[in-house]
This record gives sequence, structure tokens and C-alpha cells, in this order.
Amino acid sequence: MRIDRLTSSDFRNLIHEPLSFSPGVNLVVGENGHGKTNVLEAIYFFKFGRSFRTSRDSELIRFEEPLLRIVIEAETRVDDREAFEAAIERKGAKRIKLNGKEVPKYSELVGRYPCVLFGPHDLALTSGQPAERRRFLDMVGSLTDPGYLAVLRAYRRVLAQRNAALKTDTASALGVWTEELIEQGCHLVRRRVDVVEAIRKHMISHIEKLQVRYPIRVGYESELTNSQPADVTHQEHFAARLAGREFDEIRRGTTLVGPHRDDMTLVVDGHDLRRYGSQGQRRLVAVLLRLAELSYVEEQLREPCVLLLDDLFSELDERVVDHLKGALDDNRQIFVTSPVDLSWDAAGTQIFRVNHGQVGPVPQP
Amino acid sequence: MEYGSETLASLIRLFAKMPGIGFKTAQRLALHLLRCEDKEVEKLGQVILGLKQTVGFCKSCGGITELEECAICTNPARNREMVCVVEEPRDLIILENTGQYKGLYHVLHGVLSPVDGVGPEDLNLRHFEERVRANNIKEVIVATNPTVEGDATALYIARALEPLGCSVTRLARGLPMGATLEFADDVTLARAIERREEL
Repeated sequence: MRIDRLTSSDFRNLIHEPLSFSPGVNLVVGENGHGKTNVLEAIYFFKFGRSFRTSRDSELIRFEEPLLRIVIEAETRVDDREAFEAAIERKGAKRIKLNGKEVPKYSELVGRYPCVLFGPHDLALTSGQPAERRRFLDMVGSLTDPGYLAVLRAYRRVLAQRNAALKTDTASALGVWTEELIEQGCHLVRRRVDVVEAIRKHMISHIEKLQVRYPIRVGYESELTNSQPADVTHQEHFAARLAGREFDEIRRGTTLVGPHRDDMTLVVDGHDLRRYGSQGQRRLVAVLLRLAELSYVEEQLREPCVLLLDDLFSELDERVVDHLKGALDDNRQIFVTSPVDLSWDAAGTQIFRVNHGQVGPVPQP
Repeated sequence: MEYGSETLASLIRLFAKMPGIGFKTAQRLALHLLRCEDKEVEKLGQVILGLKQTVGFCKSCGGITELEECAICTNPARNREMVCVVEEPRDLIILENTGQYKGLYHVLHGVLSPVDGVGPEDLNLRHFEERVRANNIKEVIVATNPTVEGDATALYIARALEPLGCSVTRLARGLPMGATLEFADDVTLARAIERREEL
């Protein structure tokens, strides 16, 4: 994909004429707090029809304004001229249009707008709660596998129903919700294991290019697969686990076993990174996970992703920075925010300056 | 809004509560009635009044009827060894319109959904087992919707009937007739591949 133009009105604090982007590197520079990340946020918006920073859409509207608009013109694998439009009202109405036609379900956007964001919040992938890593796997899964989202939704629905059944006294039907949970849960675990395997495979070449000296292992951590005896099926094992916890589950009114409690393991040099990693290792592995996402999504969609790098270089060592810059060789469009003018000597680099929300291109000498 | 009449305003509000009717349509309906001949409106009123009094549910299957038992349950030409379980009377009507199914029905009036506080005892299931046993029914076709709730309800019925030894089947799911692959959604297509048939 290549993003050609961004038009926005009343999106956060941004004020700008339509911005035309370089097909290569776009540097967004400016002081902290002036709105650099807002530019990336507007570009990222159409990946899933929402912001990467907040789930409350009204926060995206400029103070005291009634509605915001974002328009992105892009060249994608589907068409060489696609227009993505979003309008969000403070009152809550939200409309996303693709080429002038309203998109009723945002899941239709998934995979249509391939971009990968690297940013400071990625540290949560390696340092945060298991939920962060599950979200990562589910995100990568739904980008690359059309059935993933449906499986995930079905599992969440069954989980909510089973939790409700555990709380209310409809014990006579608990059995069928348990069976449904096992069926949908096994589908989800199987798909997640596939995603982790793909991530692991795609990480290898990046580990080599970055000349990382210690071994890094990723795996899927599930009570269901890890402790499974060889002679029982996933279904039987899941059932046995649930049966063992049923008393606790009824007492606490919630499902205690299942993929909604799983995690991705990250082992660096023999140590569990989630607990014992250094800041540097955590940052590096977070970048590696994003790079693996990038290669995997590109392989599946057969289309180069747009790279969004949010204030990344101040915290990474030079080798990683060089490797990321090298991604340009693969003909990707890149957007980079930085508080200082970066030296990025690639032909066709376009610099944008952000000053109190005002964004404009800097004329090249 | 000011209509000059509280009766008219409340009629509009009542119409607007109905499924598929928005505020504008409700207004149009109410104003239309106001212009209709008295006789017509009277007849409509009477039919609506009679609806709850005369229309009820069949004591065997739960389908719609004005008698104790519905026309399908009392029809001797129907196959009495086959029962199709549906969620709502609406589904019975749809299946009946196909003209393909000659067996009997059983209407659940809902699906299992603990989130909404619906358990087995809230469905028309109390006498179902007994009905299957007493009438020597050989096959039960569960035609609940292919949702998480519909699936769980189907499973519940299958488990409940297990000891009776009758055959319990579920409606097939896959590509709709006449549809091309191009227009099938990913989920349907994936499911159709997963459960493909031998030729």
C-alpha cells in the first residue's frame, strides 16, 4: 500500500492543508506535545477503524468541536485509487466510507489497509499483562486468516454465556455451554498456535539481520496445550481441566480455564523475558515481534505494508535503527516521528514540521 | 412534538415501538388511520383486540393456532415420526412455505442465553422429551439458527434426547443455493470447506 494524501479537520489538534506524502520516507518532526503522533494516529485509523491510543472515539475530536473528518487517499492492492473516509460526531455517530460507500462493518476494513505501527507502547508486548500479547496474536491472526475473527467472536460470546450460566442457577444447561466452550476454545487455540508459529518463523531472519547474540524463543502458553498428555485430544484435555475447576468456577462465577487466559511465552537467553528481561531486551523483542508481524502480514497479503514508526529511534540502539531504515530497500513507504531532525539520507525523503498542531511540508533544498 | 392531540401522539409512540417501524413511518401510519373510514379503523381495532384472546399456541408443538392443537399437529397426512425444532413461530412459517417438509414441528419460543437470563426452563422444552417418547418419534431435526446460542440449544436438545435413542440431526450449513463463491462471505466459505461433502 502507499498513502498519497491526508486531509483532516478537527482531528485532535491538527491543522493542515491536504498533505501529500512521499512514496519513500516521510519524517514528521516537531517538539513533544505538538501533535506528531496525531499524524500517525490519523493514518493508522483505517487499519481497524479506530485509534491505537484510545477506544473512545470522542477523544479524537478537537476540543469543543462537534465532529471530525479524516480522508486518506491511497494506492492499494485492490485499486490504485482508494479513498478512506471517516466522520465521527461527538454525539457518537461514526461513519466510515470506502470510495464513497459506507462500510457497515469495520471488519471489512481488516486487511484492506495494511500498515504496521512501531511505537513506545509496544513495550507492553514484552512487559505488560498477558492480555496485551493475546491482543497482538488476535490482531495478527485476524489480518492473515479470514475465519479468525469469527472464531474469536464466537469464543467470546460462548464465554460470556457460560460465565452468565455459572452465575445464575441454570446449572442444567451449564454442560452445553461447557461443550460449546471446548469446541470454540479448541478452534481458537489451534489458530493462535498457528499464529505463534508464523511469528516464530518470521522472526528468525530479523534476528539474524540484527545480529542478536542470544537465543530468543516464542511459544504459545496455554494450560490446554502445555500440560496435555500425548494420548488425549485437545477436547478431552480441555474438558478434564474444566471439570477439575468446576467447583471453583461456580463459586467465583467465572470461567477459569480457556484461551482467554493464555499467553505468549518469550524466552531470551534461557530466561522468561516477561519477568526477568532487561529494558533493552524487552525493547528489542518488542521490535522483533512487530517486524515478524510485518513480514508475516506482507507474505499473506502479498502487498507491502506502510510502516509507521512513532518516536522509536531515541530508545533503540544503532543496529536496530539501521535495520529498520534498511526496510526501505524493500520499497515500503515509511512515516517516522522524531523530536529532532533525523538524518535520513534516502532519496525522496519528505519532511513535515509540526508546530502546535500546524502541520506543513518543509521545502527541500 | 406537538400533534394537537395526545391520543394521536400516543398512537404514534406505540407504532414506533414495533419492530421495523421508525418514527416517521409511525407518524405516517397514524395519520393514515385518522383519514381512513370509521368502519375500517373499527375493524382493525377489533382484530387487534381479538388477537390476544383468540390466537394462542398449540399445546403439542407450541405453534400458532386458534384451537387447542394446531392444523399441522392434527393433520393425519403429516409424517408423525419426524419433528423439526425451531426457535420461533416465524421459523415454522418459513420452513412450511418451502413445502418440502412433511413432518411435525416443535417451537421453542427462544434459545438458551444465560446472558439474557434464559435457561432451559424458560423454553418450550418441558414436555418435549415426553412428546418424543410418547409419540414414538424416530427423527428430530434441530433447525435453530447457526449462532452460538442456537448451537448450544441444539446441543442441549441432543443431550436431553440421547437416552431415547431417536436420531437427532442438525440443518446443514454451507453455501446458499444459486449463490456464487464470489459473493459468499469468508466465514460461510471456510465452514463449507471444513464440512465438504463427498461426491
